[in-house]
Amino acid sequence: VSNSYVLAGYLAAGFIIGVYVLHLFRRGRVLGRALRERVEILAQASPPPAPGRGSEPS
Amino acid sequence: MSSPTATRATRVVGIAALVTTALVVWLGGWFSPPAVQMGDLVRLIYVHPAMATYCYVGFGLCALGSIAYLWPRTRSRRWDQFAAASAEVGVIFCVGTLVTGSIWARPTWGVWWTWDARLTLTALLLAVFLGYLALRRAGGDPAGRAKRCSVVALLCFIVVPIDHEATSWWATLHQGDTLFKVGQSPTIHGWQLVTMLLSFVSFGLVFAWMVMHRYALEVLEDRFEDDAVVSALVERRAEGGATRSPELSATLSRSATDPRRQVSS
Repeated sequence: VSNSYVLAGYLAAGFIIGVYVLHLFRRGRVLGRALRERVEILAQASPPPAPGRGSEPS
Repeated sequence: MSSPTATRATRVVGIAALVTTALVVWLGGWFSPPAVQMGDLVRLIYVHPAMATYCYVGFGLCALGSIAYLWPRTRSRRWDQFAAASAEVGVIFCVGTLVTGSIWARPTWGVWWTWDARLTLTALLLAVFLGYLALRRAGGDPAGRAKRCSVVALLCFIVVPIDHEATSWWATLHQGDTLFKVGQSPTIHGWQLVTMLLSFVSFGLVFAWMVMHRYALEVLEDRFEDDAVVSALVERRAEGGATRSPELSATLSRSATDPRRQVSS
């Protein structure tokens, strides 16, 4: 790319998209981790299955 | 990079987007010939118009999602989530449009910014959809918020056709359509035309990939809000030392074993 304005345009587009993509990944990972922790808390708070219920058929 | 919002579809679209974008950068940056009048500056045509187009597409999808939410027969929280995802990605493309347009304006018009009809309306478009995104964070009950935001999205969308037609309705510095002119052939040919068309494919794939991820994220956020209510209830109960009611126990069991709540890493 010989023109500095063209280079600046390509870099600006790449930067805006790149930063947003990183933001999406980071937000997804943080939310995924928080949800897993919450599922664990809920699993600990829930009562054990009553005898004879929820077990695999033999 | 692993993400809970990634699926097989997002991976396929993402790889296709990377390949086509690399091709557009090579064709647009080096291979395609410079223009007779504009010289090398024509290479910005492979970035700026595609970004502007998908900015409109994003806001258009947001309006469609809002209509589907407001329509009683198709009302579903999913449409509201889709509208939110499309609007946010549309805003990113709108920022890209304004920045790349400004960089292009400096060497061609001699200014970074001018209060031209097209430019002003695009800035207004960005402002109104930023307002829409702010409204989404205002809180309240989810159904009321979704209805309120859907109405506002439709009002915001009115700016899109006015912005698109600004170059034909008013005398503006901004050039008119390059590809699609009614009754006329495109004003771009050869490798320049091929590269420009490929840039629309490339940015379309990037746009689709972003909307898919953002939509999945919106679904996760809603699930997180739902779980937060149950979790807060558990904590309050534990603090008070109260015994659990059968209803709460049933809710907790359902929440912990619900397959939709199992988040893969």
